[in-house]
Amino acid sequence: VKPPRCDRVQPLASAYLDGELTAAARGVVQAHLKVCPDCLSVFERQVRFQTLVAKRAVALATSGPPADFAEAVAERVRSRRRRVLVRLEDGLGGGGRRPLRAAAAVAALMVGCGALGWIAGSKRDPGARDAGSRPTAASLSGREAAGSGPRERAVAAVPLQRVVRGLAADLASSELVPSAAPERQQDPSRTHDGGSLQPSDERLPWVAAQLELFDVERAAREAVAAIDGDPAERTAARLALELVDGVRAGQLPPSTVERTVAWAAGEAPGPVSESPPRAPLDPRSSVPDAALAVSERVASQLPAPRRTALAEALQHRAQWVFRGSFSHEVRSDGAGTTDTFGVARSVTEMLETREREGRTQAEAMLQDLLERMGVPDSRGPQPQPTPSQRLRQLVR
Amino acid sequence: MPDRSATGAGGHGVGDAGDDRTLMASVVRGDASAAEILVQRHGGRVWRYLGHVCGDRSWVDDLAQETLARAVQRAALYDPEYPLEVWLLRIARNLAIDLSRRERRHQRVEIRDEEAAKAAGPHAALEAREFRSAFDAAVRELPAGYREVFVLREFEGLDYASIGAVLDLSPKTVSSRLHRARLRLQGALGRFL
Repeated sequence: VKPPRCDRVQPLASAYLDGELTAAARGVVQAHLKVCPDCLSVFERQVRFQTLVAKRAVALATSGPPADFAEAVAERVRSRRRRVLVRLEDGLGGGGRRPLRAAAAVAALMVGCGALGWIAGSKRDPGARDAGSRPTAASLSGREAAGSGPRERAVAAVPLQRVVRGLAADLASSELVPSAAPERQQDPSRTHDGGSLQPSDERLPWVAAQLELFDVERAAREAVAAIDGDPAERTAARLALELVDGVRAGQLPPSTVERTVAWAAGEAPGPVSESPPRAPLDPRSSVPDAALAVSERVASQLPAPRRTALAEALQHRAQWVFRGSFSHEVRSDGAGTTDTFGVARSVTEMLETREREGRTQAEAMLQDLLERMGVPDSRGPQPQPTPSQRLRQLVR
Repeated sequence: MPDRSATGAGGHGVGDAGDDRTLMASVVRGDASAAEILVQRHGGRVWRYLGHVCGDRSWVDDLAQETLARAVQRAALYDPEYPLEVWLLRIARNLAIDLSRRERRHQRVEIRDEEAAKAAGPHAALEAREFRSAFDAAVRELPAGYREVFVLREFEGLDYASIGAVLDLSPKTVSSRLHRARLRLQGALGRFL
Protein backbone atom coordinates (compact mmCIF):
# COMPACT_ATOMS: atom_id res chain seq x y z
CA VAL A 1 0.00 0.00 0.00
CA LYS A 2 1.39 3.36 -1.00
CA PRO A 3 1.97 5.55 2.10
CA PRO A 4 -0.01 8.81 2.17
CA ARG A 5 1.78 12.03 1.36
CA CYS A 6 2.40 14.60 4.08
CA ASP A 7 0.17 17.16 2.36
CA ARG A 8 -2.69 14.66 2.63
CA VAL A 9 -2.08 13.86 6.29
CA GLN A 10 -1.51 17.31 7.77
CA PRO A 11 -4.97 18.70 6.88
CA LEU A 12 -6.40 15.81 8.91
CA ALA A 13 -4.78 17.03 12.12
CA SER A 14 -7.87 18.89 13.33
CA ALA A 15 -10.28 16.09 12.66
CA TYR A 16 -7.83 13.55 14.11
CA LEU A 17 -7.42 15.44 17.37
CA ASP A 18 -11.16 16.11 17.57
CA GLY A 19 -11.91 12.40 17.23
CA GLU A 20 -13.83 12.95 14.00
CA LEU A 21 -11.92 10.56 11.75
CA THR A 22 -13.10 7.07 10.89
CA ALA A 23 -11.15 4.20 12.41
CA ALA A 24 -9.54 3.48 9.04
CA ALA A 25 -8.41 7.07 8.48
CA ARG A 26 -7.21 7.25 12.03
CA GLY A 27 -5.07 4.14 11.48
CA VAL A 28 -3.53 5.63 8.35
CA VAL A 29 -2.64 8.85 10.18
CA GLN A 30 -1.14 6.99 13.12
CA ALA A 31 0.98 4.82 10.85
CA HIS A 32 2.23 7.90 9.01
CA LEU A 33 3.10 9.77 12.20
CA LYS A 34 5.27 6.88 13.35
CA VAL A 35 7.58 7.35 10.37
CA CYS A 36 7.29 11.10 9.66
CA PRO A 37 8.83 13.51 12.20
CA ASP A 38 7.71 16.56 10.18
CA CYS A 39 4.06 15.64 10.38
CA LEU A 40 4.46 14.62 14.00
CA SER A 41 5.80 18.10 14.72
CA VAL A 42 2.79 19.68 12.99
CA PHE A 43 0.44 17.54 15.05
CA GLU A 44 2.27 18.40 18.28
CA ARG A 45 2.00 22.10 17.52
CA GLN A 46 -1.71 21.62 16.93
CA VAL A 47 -2.03 19.93 20.32
CA ARG A 48 -0.26 22.86 22.03
CA PHE A 49 -2.54 25.29 20.25
CA GLN A 50 -5.71 23.41 21.16
CA THR A 51 -4.60 23.25 24.78
CA LEU A 52 -4.25 27.04 24.84
CA VAL A 53 -7.63 27.45 23.18
CA ALA A 54 -9.20 25.09 25.70
CA LYS A 55 -7.94 27.28 28.56
CA ARG A 56 -9.50 30.31 26.93
CA ALA A 57 -12.74 28.39 26.40
CA VAL A 58 -12.81 27.51 30.09
CA ALA A 59 -12.34 31.18 31.02
CA LEU A 60 -15.05 32.34 28.61
CA ALA A 61 -17.45 29.73 29.95
CA THR A 62 -17.52 31.63 33.24
CA SER A 63 -19.27 34.52 31.52
CA GLY A 64 -23.01 34.36 31.14
CA PRO A 65 -26.17 36.33 30.63
CA PRO A 66 -27.33 38.95 33.14
CA ALA A 67 -29.08 37.81 36.32
CA ASP A 68 -32.49 38.94 35.08
CA PHE A 69 -32.18 37.02 31.80
CA ALA A 70 -34.71 34.28 32.59
CA GLU A 71 -37.27 36.79 33.81
CA ALA A 72 -36.76 38.90 30.69
CA VAL A 73 -37.48 35.87 28.48
CA ALA A 74 -40.58 35.00 30.52
CA GLU A 75 -41.85 38.58 30.26
CA ARG A 76 -41.29 38.54 26.51
CA VAL A 77 -43.43 35.40 26.18
CA ARG A 78 -46.12 36.78 28.51
CA SER A 79 -46.34 40.11 26.76
CA ARG A 80 -46.93 38.44 23.40
CA ARG A 81 -49.76 36.37 24.79
CA ARG A 82 -51.29 39.53 26.24
CA ARG A 83 -51.05 41.27 22.89
CA VAL A 84 -52.92 38.45 21.16
CA LEU A 85 -55.69 38.83 23.72
CA VAL A 86 -55.79 42.56 23.12
CA ARG A 87 -56.18 41.92 19.41
CA LEU A 88 -59.03 39.52 20.00
CA GLU A 89 -60.74 42.00 22.28
CA ASP A 90 -60.20 44.73 19.71
CA GLY A 91 -62.00 42.61 17.20
CA LEU A 92 -64.88 41.92 19.53
CA GLY A 93 -65.85 45.47 20.28
CA GLY A 94 -62.92 46.97 22.12
CA GLY A 95 -63.58 50.49 20.93
CA GLY A 96 -62.84 50.20 17.25
CA ARG A 97 -59.08 50.00 17.62
CA ARG A 98 -57.55 48.63 14.45
CA PRO A 99 -60.46 46.35 13.62
CA LEU A 100 -58.83 44.90 10.53
CA ARG A 101 -55.74 43.89 12.41
CA ALA A 102 -57.97 42.10 14.89
CA ALA A 103 -59.92 40.62 12.03
CA ALA A 104 -56.78 39.03 10.70
CA ALA A 105 -55.95 37.56 14.09
CA VAL A 106 -59.41 36.21 14.73
CA ALA A 107 -59.78 34.92 11.20
CA ALA A 108 -56.52 33.08 11.53
CA LEU A 109 -57.62 31.61 14.83
CA MET A 110 -60.81 30.46 13.21
CA VAL A 111 -58.85 28.80 10.44
CA GLY A 112 -57.13 26.88 13.20
CA CYS A 113 -60.43 25.91 14.74
CA GLY A 114 -61.63 24.75 11.35
CA ALA A 115 -58.47 22.73 10.90
CA LEU A 116 -59.17 21.02 14.19
CA GLY A 117 -62.64 20.23 12.98
CA TRP A 118 -60.98 18.56 10.03
CA ILE A 119 -58.49 16.69 12.18
CA ALA A 120 -61.16 15.46 14.55
CA GLY A 121 -63.50 14.88 11.62
CA SER A 122 -66.00 12.85 13.58
CA LYS A 123 -68.97 14.19 11.65
CA ARG A 124 -67.35 14.21 8.24
CA ASP A 125 -69.04 12.24 5.55
CA PRO A 126 -66.45 9.66 4.44
CA GLY A 127 -67.84 9.78 0.94
CA ALA A 128 -67.09 13.47 0.71
CA ARG A 129 -63.35 12.91 0.33
CA ASP A 130 -61.94 13.48 -3.12
CA ALA A 131 -58.56 14.01 -4.74
CA GLY A 132 -58.43 17.53 -3.36
CA SER A 133 -59.27 16.72 0.21
CA ARG A 134 -56.75 17.21 2.95
CA PRO A 135 -54.87 14.05 3.81
CA THR A 136 -54.57 13.16 7.45
CA ALA A 137 -51.38 12.08 9.13
CA ALA A 138 -52.58 8.53 8.84
CA SER A 139 -53.23 8.82 5.11
CA LEU A 140 -49.84 10.47 4.62
CA SER A 141 -48.26 7.40 6.05
CA GLY A 142 -50.31 5.19 3.78
CA ARG A 143 -52.01 3.54 6.71
CA GLU A 144 -55.27 5.38 6.98
CA ALA A 145 -57.58 4.06 9.64
CA ALA A 146 -61.24 3.39 9.08
CA GLY A 147 -62.22 6.31 11.24
CA SER A 148 -62.34 5.05 14.78
CA GLY A 149 -58.84 3.67 15.37
CA PRO A 150 -56.76 4.55 18.40
CA ARG A 151 -54.81 7.19 16.49
CA GLU A 152 -57.95 8.96 15.30
CA ARG A 153 -59.34 8.88 18.79
CA ALA A 154 -56.09 10.26 20.16
CA VAL A 155 -55.98 13.04 17.57
CA ALA A 156 -59.61 13.88 18.22
CA ALA A 157 -58.81 14.22 21.89
CA VAL A 158 -56.28 17.01 21.31
CA PRO A 159 -57.63 19.92 23.30
CA LEU A 160 -58.81 22.79 21.17
CA GLN A 161 -57.22 25.09 23.69
CA ARG A 162 -53.78 23.79 22.75
CA VAL A 163 -54.35 24.33 19.05
CA VAL A 164 -55.63 27.84 19.58
CA ARG A 165 -52.81 28.67 21.96
CA GLY A 166 -50.26 27.49 19.43
CA LEU A 167 -51.81 29.56 16.70
CA ALA A 168 -51.97 32.56 18.96
CA ALA A 169 -48.27 32.18 19.66
CA ASP A 170 -47.58 31.91 15.94
CA LEU A 171 -49.59 35.00 15.26
CA ALA A 172 -47.61 36.91 17.83
CA SER A 173 -44.29 35.91 16.37
CA SER A 174 -42.36 37.91 13.89
CA GLU A 175 -42.03 35.03 11.47
CA LEU A 176 -45.66 35.35 10.47
CA VAL A 177 -45.21 38.95 9.51
CA PRO A 178 -41.50 39.59 9.04
CA SER A 179 -39.81 42.90 9.32
CA ALA A 180 -39.37 42.92 5.57
CA ALA A 181 -43.04 43.91 5.34
CA PRO A 182 -43.82 47.60 4.74
CA GLU A 183 -42.72 49.93 7.52
CA ARG A 184 -45.14 49.93 10.36
CA GLN A 185 -45.87 52.42 13.05
CA GLN A 186 -43.71 51.77 16.07
CA ASP A 187 -45.61 51.77 19.33
CA PRO A 188 -43.15 52.72 22.08
CA SER A 189 -45.38 51.23 24.76
CA ARG A 190 -44.76 47.75 23.40
CA THR A 191 -41.59 45.82 23.87
CA HIS A 192 -39.63 44.83 20.80
CA ASP A 193 -41.08 41.65 19.35
CA GLY A 194 -39.69 41.80 15.86
CA GLY A 195 -43.06 42.16 14.21
CA SER A 196 -46.80 42.20 14.52
CA LEU A 197 -49.85 41.95 12.35
CA GLN A 198 -50.24 44.81 9.97
CA PRO A 199 -53.28 47.07 10.33
CA SER A 200 -54.28 46.49 6.77
CA ASP A 201 -56.67 44.14 5.06
CA GLU A 202 -53.83 43.38 2.64
CA ARG A 203 -52.37 41.28 5.42
CA LEU A 204 -55.26 38.83 5.40
CA PRO A 205 -54.13 36.76 2.42
CA TRP A 206 -50.61 37.04 3.78
CA VAL A 207 -51.56 35.49 7.09
CA ALA A 208 -53.66 32.88 5.36
CA ALA A 209 -50.75 31.86 3.13
CA GLN A 210 -48.46 31.59 6.10
CA LEU A 211 -50.90 29.50 8.05
CA GLU A 212 -51.36 27.18 5.12
CA LEU A 213 -47.62 26.79 4.88
CA PHE A 214 -47.64 25.87 8.54
CA ASP A 215 -50.31 23.34 7.69
CA VAL A 216 -48.00 21.62 5.23
CA GLU A 217 -45.31 21.66 7.84
CA ARG A 218 -47.66 20.25 10.44
CA ALA A 219 -48.76 17.51 8.08
CA ALA A 220 -45.19 16.50 7.43
CA ARG A 221 -44.47 16.54 11.14
CA GLU A 222 -47.49 14.36 11.81
CA ALA A 223 -46.32 12.03 9.10
CA VAL A 224 -42.87 11.77 10.65
CA ALA A 225 -44.50 10.95 13.97
CA ALA A 226 -46.86 8.43 12.43
CA ILE A 227 -44.29 6.53 10.38
CA ASP A 228 -42.33 4.24 12.60
CA GLY A 229 -41.08 1.57 10.26
CA ASP A 230 -39.81 2.76 6.92
CA PRO A 231 -36.66 4.90 7.07
CA ALA A 232 -37.12 5.96 3.43
CA GLU A 233 -40.55 7.34 4.18
CA ARG A 234 -39.26 9.11 7.23
CA THR A 235 -36.50 10.62 5.13
CA ALA A 236 -38.97 11.81 2.52
CA ALA A 237 -41.22 13.34 5.13
CA ARG A 238 -38.37 15.05 6.88
CA LEU A 239 -36.99 16.29 3.59
CA ALA A 240 -40.30 17.86 2.69
CA LEU A 241 -40.44 19.40 6.13
CA GLU A 242 -36.99 20.90 5.81
CA LEU A 243 -37.74 22.28 2.40
CA VAL A 244 -40.98 23.85 3.44
CA ASP A 245 -39.28 25.30 6.47
CA GLY A 246 -36.43 26.65 4.40
CA VAL A 247 -38.68 28.14 1.76
CA ARG A 248 -40.85 29.72 4.40
CA ALA A 249 -37.88 31.34 6.03
CA GLY A 250 -36.70 32.55 2.63
CA GLN A 251 -33.31 31.12 3.35
CA LEU A 252 -33.01 28.36 0.81
CA PRO A 253 -31.41 29.68 -2.36
CA PRO A 254 -32.40 27.82 -5.54
CA SER A 255 -29.04 26.07 -5.71
CA THR A 256 -29.66 24.51 -2.32
CA VAL A 257 -33.08 23.31 -3.36
CA GLU A 258 -31.51 21.75 -6.44
CA ARG A 259 -28.88 20.00 -4.39
CA THR A 260 -31.34 18.89 -1.76
CA VAL A 261 -33.58 17.33 -4.34
CA ALA A 262 -30.54 15.62 -5.84
CA TRP A 263 -29.74 14.34 -2.39
CA ALA A 264 -33.23 12.91 -2.08
CA ALA A 265 -32.70 11.09 -5.34
CA GLY A 266 -29.44 9.67 -4.08
CA GLU A 267 -27.35 11.68 -6.53
CA ALA A 268 -25.56 14.05 -4.17
CA PRO A 269 -23.78 13.66 -0.83
CA GLY A 270 -25.91 16.00 1.26
CA PRO A 271 -28.25 18.98 1.35
CA VAL A 272 -25.48 21.51 1.84
CA SER A 273 -25.48 25.23 1.27
CA GLU A 274 -22.64 27.65 1.48
CA SER A 275 -24.56 30.52 -0.01
CA PRO A 276 -25.52 33.33 2.33
CA PRO A 277 -29.23 33.56 3.14
CA ARG A 278 -31.06 35.84 0.79
CA ALA A 279 -33.74 38.36 1.56
CA PRO A 280 -37.11 36.92 2.60
CA LEU A 281 -39.42 36.03 -0.24
CA ASP A 282 -42.62 37.87 -0.80
CA PRO A 283 -44.98 35.32 0.72
CA ARG A 284 -48.00 36.51 -1.17
CA SER A 285 -46.48 35.57 -4.46
CA SER A 286 -43.42 33.39 -4.41
CA VAL A 287 -43.68 31.25 -1.28
CA PRO A 288 -46.71 29.26 -2.43
CA ASP A 289 -45.22 28.64 -5.86
CA ALA A 290 -41.81 27.81 -4.46
CA ALA A 291 -43.22 25.40 -1.91
CA LEU A 292 -45.41 23.77 -4.50
CA ALA A 293 -42.50 23.42 -6.91
CA VAL A 294 -40.35 21.90 -4.21
CA SER A 295 -43.05 19.46 -3.23
CA GLU A 296 -43.64 18.40 -6.82
CA ARG A 297 -39.97 17.87 -7.43
CA VAL A 298 -39.52 15.86 -4.28
CA ALA A 299 -42.36 13.62 -5.35
CA SER A 300 -41.15 13.29 -8.95
CA GLN A 301 -37.48 12.70 -8.22
CA LEU A 302 -37.71 10.12 -5.51
CA PRO A 303 -36.80 6.67 -6.85
CA ALA A 304 -39.74 4.36 -7.35
CA PRO A 305 -39.50 2.43 -4.08
CA ARG A 306 -39.41 5.68 -2.18
CA ARG A 307 -42.08 7.43 -4.18
CA THR A 308 -44.62 6.50 -1.65
CA ALA A 309 -48.08 7.59 -0.78
CA LEU A 310 -46.38 10.00 1.55
CA ALA A 311 -44.66 12.01 -1.17
CA GLU A 312 -47.77 11.99 -3.34
CA ALA A 313 -49.93 13.05 -0.47
CA LEU A 314 -47.59 15.90 0.30
CA GLN A 315 -47.81 16.96 -3.31
CA HIS A 316 -51.58 16.81 -3.20
CA ARG A 317 -51.61 18.77 -0.07
CA ALA A 318 -49.37 21.48 -1.44
CA GLN A 319 -51.56 21.71 -4.54
CA TRP A 320 -54.61 21.94 -2.40
CA VAL A 321 -53.06 24.56 -0.23
CA PHE A 322 -51.52 26.76 -2.84
CA ARG A 323 -53.69 26.43 -5.91
CA GLY A 324 -56.71 27.76 -4.11
CA SER A 325 -58.87 24.68 -4.47
CA PHE A 326 -60.42 25.13 -1.09
CA SER A 327 -63.73 23.55 -1.90
CA HIS A 328 -63.39 20.32 0.01
CA GLU A 329 -65.58 19.74 2.98
CA VAL A 330 -64.20 20.26 6.40
CA ARG A 331 -67.41 19.78 8.25
CA SER A 332 -70.80 19.02 6.96
CA ASP A 333 -73.89 19.46 9.06
CA GLY A 334 -77.49 20.52 8.78
CA ALA A 335 -76.50 24.12 8.31
CA GLY A 336 -74.47 23.35 5.22
CA THR A 337 -70.83 22.98 4.31
CA THR A 338 -68.14 25.13 5.79
CA ASP A 339 -64.58 25.17 4.63
CA THR A 340 -61.73 26.67 6.53
CA PHE A 341 -61.43 29.71 4.37
CA GLY A 342 -65.14 30.09 4.46
CA VAL A 343 -64.84 30.25 8.20
CA ALA A 344 -62.10 32.84 7.95
CA ARG A 345 -64.19 34.90 5.59
CA SER A 346 -67.21 34.53 7.83
CA VAL A 347 -65.34 35.86 10.79
CA THR A 348 -63.98 38.76 8.83
CA GLU A 349 -67.47 39.54 7.58
CA MET A 350 -68.72 39.19 11.11
CA LEU A 351 -66.27 41.77 12.32
CA GLU A 352 -67.21 44.12 9.54
CA THR A 353 -70.84 43.52 10.44
CA ARG A 354 -70.04 44.46 14.00
CA GLU A 355 -68.86 47.82 12.77
CA ARG A 356 -72.12 48.35 10.94
CA GLU A 357 -74.77 46.69 12.98
CA GLY A 358 -73.42 46.47 16.44
CA ARG A 359 -71.90 44.02 18.78
CA THR A 360 -74.91 41.86 19.54
CA GLN A 361 -75.34 40.47 16.08
CA ALA A 362 -71.62 39.90 15.62
CA GLU A 363 -71.42 37.99 18.86
CA ALA A 364 -74.36 35.87 17.82
CA MET A 365 -72.55 35.02 14.59
CA LEU A 366 -69.38 34.16 16.43
CA GLN A 367 -71.37 32.03 18.85
CA ASP A 368 -72.81 30.19 15.91
CA LEU A 369 -69.39 29.64 14.38
CA LEU A 370 -67.94 28.39 17.65
CA GLU A 371 -70.75 25.89 18.00
CA ARG A 372 -70.47 24.71 14.41
CA MET A 373 -66.79 24.09 14.90
CA GLY A 374 -67.40 22.00 17.95
CA VAL A 375 -66.11 24.24 20.72
CA PRO A 376 -67.55 22.63 23.86
CA ASP A 377 -70.77 24.24 24.95
CA SER A 378 -70.46 25.56 28.45
CA ARG A 379 -74.14 26.27 28.97
CA GLY A 380 -75.31 25.30 32.43
CA PRO A 381 -76.71 26.79 35.59
CA GLN A 382 -74.12 29.61 35.49
CA PRO A 383 -74.60 32.53 33.13
CA GLN A 384 -73.15 31.64 29.74
CA PRO A 385 -69.87 33.41 28.96
CA THR A 386 -69.86 35.72 26.01
CA PRO A 387 -67.95 34.63 22.91
CA SER A 388 -65.31 37.16 23.86
CA GLN A 389 -64.88 35.51 27.26
CA ARG A 390 -64.76 32.06 25.70
CA LEU A 391 -62.01 33.09 23.29
CA ARG A 392 -60.14 34.62 26.18
CA GLN A 393 -60.40 31.32 28.07
CA LEU A 394 -59.15 29.42 25.05
CA VAL A 395 -55.97 31.41 24.62
CA ARG A 396 -55.02 31.33 28.30
CA MET B 1 -8.52 19.04 26.33
CA PRO B 2 -10.19 19.71 29.64
CA ASP B 3 -13.56 18.33 30.53
CA ARG B 4 -15.89 21.06 29.40
CA SER B 5 -18.85 19.60 31.14
CA ALA B 6 -17.37 20.86 34.37
CA THR B 7 -17.17 24.41 33.09
CA GLY B 8 -20.66 24.81 31.82
CA ALA B 9 -19.48 25.15 28.24
CA GLY B 10 -21.04 21.80 27.55
CA GLY B 11 -19.83 19.59 24.72
CA HIS B 12 -22.34 18.00 22.44
CA GLY B 13 -23.72 15.01 24.22
CA VAL B 14 -22.85 16.35 27.66
CA GLY B 15 -26.40 17.52 28.19
CA ASP B 16 -28.83 14.63 28.47
CA ALA B 17 -30.73 14.43 25.18
CA GLY B 18 -33.48 12.40 26.81
CA ASP B 19 -33.90 15.09 29.42
CA ASP B 20 -34.14 17.73 26.73
CA ARG B 21 -36.84 15.78 24.91
CA THR B 22 -38.86 15.45 28.09
CA LEU B 23 -38.27 19.08 28.86
CA MET B 24 -39.52 20.24 25.48
CA ALA B 25 -42.58 18.02 25.74
CA SER B 26 -43.39 19.77 29.02
CA VAL B 27 -42.86 23.19 27.45
CA VAL B 28 -45.30 22.25 24.68
CA ARG B 29 -47.88 21.36 27.33
CA GLY B 30 -47.49 24.88 28.71
CA ASP B 31 -45.50 23.99 31.80
CA ALA B 32 -43.99 27.30 32.97
CA SER B 33 -41.37 25.68 35.18
CA ALA B 34 -40.15 23.63 32.19
CA ALA B 35 -39.74 26.83 30.19
CA GLU B 36 -37.72 28.26 33.06
CA ILE B 37 -35.47 25.20 33.13
CA LEU B 38 -35.01 25.47 29.37
CA VAL B 39 -33.79 29.04 29.75
CA GLN B 40 -31.52 28.20 32.65
CA ARG B 41 -30.06 25.13 30.98
CA HIS B 42 -29.40 26.60 27.56
CA GLY B 43 -29.54 30.39 27.96
CA GLY B 44 -25.83 30.69 28.75
CA ARG B 45 -24.79 28.78 25.66
CA VAL B 46 -27.00 30.85 23.39
CA TRP B 47 -25.83 34.08 24.99
CA ARG B 48 -22.14 33.20 24.67
CA TYR B 49 -22.54 32.08 21.06
CA LEU B 50 -24.23 35.34 20.12
CA GLY B 51 -21.49 37.21 21.92
CA HIS B 52 -18.97 35.72 19.53
CA VAL B 53 -20.83 36.21 16.29
CA CYS B 54 -22.65 39.50 16.48
CA GLY B 55 -23.01 43.09 17.60
CA ASP B 56 -22.66 44.97 20.84
CA ARG B 57 -23.69 43.77 24.27
CA SER B 58 -27.19 45.21 24.18
CA TRP B 59 -27.92 43.29 20.99
CA VAL B 60 -26.55 40.09 22.47
CA ASP B 61 -28.96 40.29 25.41
CA ASP B 62 -31.87 41.13 23.13
CA LEU B 63 -31.17 38.37 20.63
CA ALA B 64 -30.57 35.77 23.32
CA GLN B 65 -33.89 36.65 24.97
CA GLU B 66 -35.64 36.51 21.62
CA THR B 67 -34.10 33.13 20.84
CA LEU B 68 -35.31 31.59 24.08
CA ALA B 69 -38.73 33.26 23.84
CA ARG B 70 -39.22 31.79 20.38
CA ALA B 71 -38.06 28.41 21.54
CA VAL B 72 -40.71 28.47 24.28
CA GLN B 73 -43.44 29.68 21.94
CA ARG B 74 -42.53 27.30 19.14
CA ALA B 75 -41.63 24.30 21.25
CA ALA B 76 -44.13 22.23 19.29
CA LEU B 77 -41.98 22.66 16.19
CA TYR B 78 -38.88 21.19 17.82
CA ASP B 79 -37.85 17.93 16.20
CA PRO B 80 -36.44 15.67 18.91
CA GLU B 81 -34.41 13.83 16.29
CA TYR B 82 -31.93 16.72 16.52
CA PRO B 83 -30.06 17.89 19.62
CA LEU B 84 -31.84 20.77 21.31
CA GLU B 85 -28.73 22.96 21.27
CA VAL B 86 -28.56 22.69 17.48
CA TRP B 87 -32.13 23.92 17.17
CA LEU B 88 -31.52 26.78 19.59
CA LEU B 89 -28.29 27.87 17.92
CA ARG B 90 -29.97 27.81 14.52
CA ILE B 91 -32.68 30.13 15.81
CA ALA B 92 -30.02 32.37 17.35
CA ARG B 93 -27.97 32.44 14.18
CA ASN B 94 -30.96 33.27 11.97
CA LEU B 95 -31.93 36.09 14.29
CA ALA B 96 -28.38 37.44 14.23
CA ILE B 97 -28.35 37.32 10.43
CA ASP B 98 -31.68 39.13 10.28
CA LEU B 99 -30.40 41.75 12.66
CA SER B 100 -27.17 42.31 10.81
CA ARG B 101 -29.14 42.75 7.63
CA ARG B 102 -31.29 45.35 9.27
CA GLU B 103 -28.73 47.13 11.32
CA ARG B 104 -25.54 46.54 9.38
CA ARG B 105 -23.73 46.06 12.63
CA HIS B 106 -20.98 43.54 12.79
CA GLN B 107 -18.98 44.60 15.81
CA ARG B 108 -18.23 41.88 18.24
CA VAL B 109 -19.18 42.08 21.85
CA GLU B 110 -16.30 42.28 24.28
CA ILE B 111 -16.91 39.43 26.67
CA ARG B 112 -15.86 40.20 30.20
CA ASP B 113 -13.28 37.92 31.63
CA GLU B 114 -11.97 39.55 34.77
CA GLU B 115 -12.19 36.38 36.82
CA ALA B 116 -9.46 34.53 34.98
CA ALA B 117 -6.99 37.40 35.37
CA LYS B 118 -7.62 37.66 39.09
CA ALA B 119 -6.73 34.03 39.58
CA ALA B 120 -3.09 34.41 38.47
CA GLY B 121 -0.04 36.25 39.88
CA PRO B 122 1.21 39.58 38.41
CA HIS B 123 3.58 38.12 35.80
CA ALA B 124 1.28 35.31 34.85
CA ALA B 125 -1.63 37.73 34.78
CA LEU B 126 0.23 40.00 32.38
CA GLU B 127 1.05 37.09 30.11
CA ALA B 128 -2.51 35.80 30.33
CA ARG B 129 -3.83 39.25 29.47
CA GLU B 130 -1.51 39.48 26.47
CA PHE B 131 -2.60 36.08 25.24
CA ARG B 132 -6.27 36.86 25.77
CA SER B 133 -5.98 40.10 23.94
CA ALA B 134 -4.05 38.59 21.03
CA PHE B 135 -6.31 35.54 20.91
CA ASP B 136 -9.54 37.55 20.92
CA ALA B 137 -8.19 39.85 18.23
CA ALA B 138 -7.10 36.91 16.07
CA VAL B 139 -10.48 35.23 16.38
CA ARG B 140 -12.14 38.51 15.53
CA GLU B 141 -10.01 38.78 12.40
CA LEU B 142 -11.07 35.38 11.10
CA PRO B 143 -13.42 35.39 8.10
CA ALA B 144 -17.00 34.99 9.34
CA GLY B 145 -17.35 31.50 7.89
CA TYR B 146 -14.24 30.30 9.72
CA ARG B 147 -15.08 32.12 12.95
CA GLU B 148 -18.52 30.55 13.24
CA VAL B 149 -17.15 27.05 12.85
CA PHE B 150 -14.30 27.72 15.27
CA VAL B 151 -16.59 29.22 17.94
CA LEU B 152 -19.09 26.38 17.76
CA ARG B 153 -16.32 23.79 18.09
CA GLU B 154 -14.01 25.38 20.62
CA PHE B 155 -16.38 27.37 22.79
CA GLU B 156 -19.60 25.42 22.47
CA GLY B 157 -18.02 21.98 22.10
CA LEU B 158 -20.26 20.80 19.26
CA ASP B 159 -19.19 17.87 17.09
CA TYR B 160 -18.78 18.34 13.35
CA ALA B 161 -22.21 16.94 12.50
CA SER B 162 -23.92 19.33 14.92
CA ILE B 163 -21.91 22.29 13.65
CA GLY B 164 -22.97 21.33 10.15
CA ALA B 165 -26.59 21.18 11.27
CA VAL B 166 -26.40 24.67 12.75
CA LEU B 167 -24.64 26.23 9.77
CA ASP B 168 -26.08 24.12 6.93
CA LEU B 169 -22.68 22.72 6.06
CA SER B 170 -21.46 19.19 5.41
CA PRO B 171 -19.16 17.69 8.07
CA LYS B 172 -16.40 17.69 5.46
CA THR B 173 -16.74 21.43 4.93
CA VAL B 174 -16.81 21.92 8.70
CA SER B 175 -13.60 19.94 9.02
CA SER B 176 -11.90 21.90 6.28
CA ARG B 177 -12.94 25.31 7.60
CA LEU B 178 -12.01 24.42 11.12
CA HIS B 179 -8.57 23.27 10.06
CA ARG B 180 -7.97 26.47 8.12
CA ALA B 181 -9.22 28.59 11.00
CA ARG B 182 -6.82 26.85 13.36
CA LEU B 183 -3.90 27.29 10.96
CA ARG B 184 -4.63 31.00 10.70
CA LEU B 185 -4.83 31.36 14.45
CA GLN B 186 -1.61 29.40 14.95
CA GLY B 187 0.06 31.81 12.55
CA ALA B 188 -1.23 34.81 14.47
CA LEU B 189 -0.42 33.37 17.90
CA GLY B 190 2.90 31.71 17.09
CA ARG B 191 4.78 33.41 19.93
CA PHE B 192 2.55 31.78 22.52
CA LEU B 193 3.04 28.24 21.21
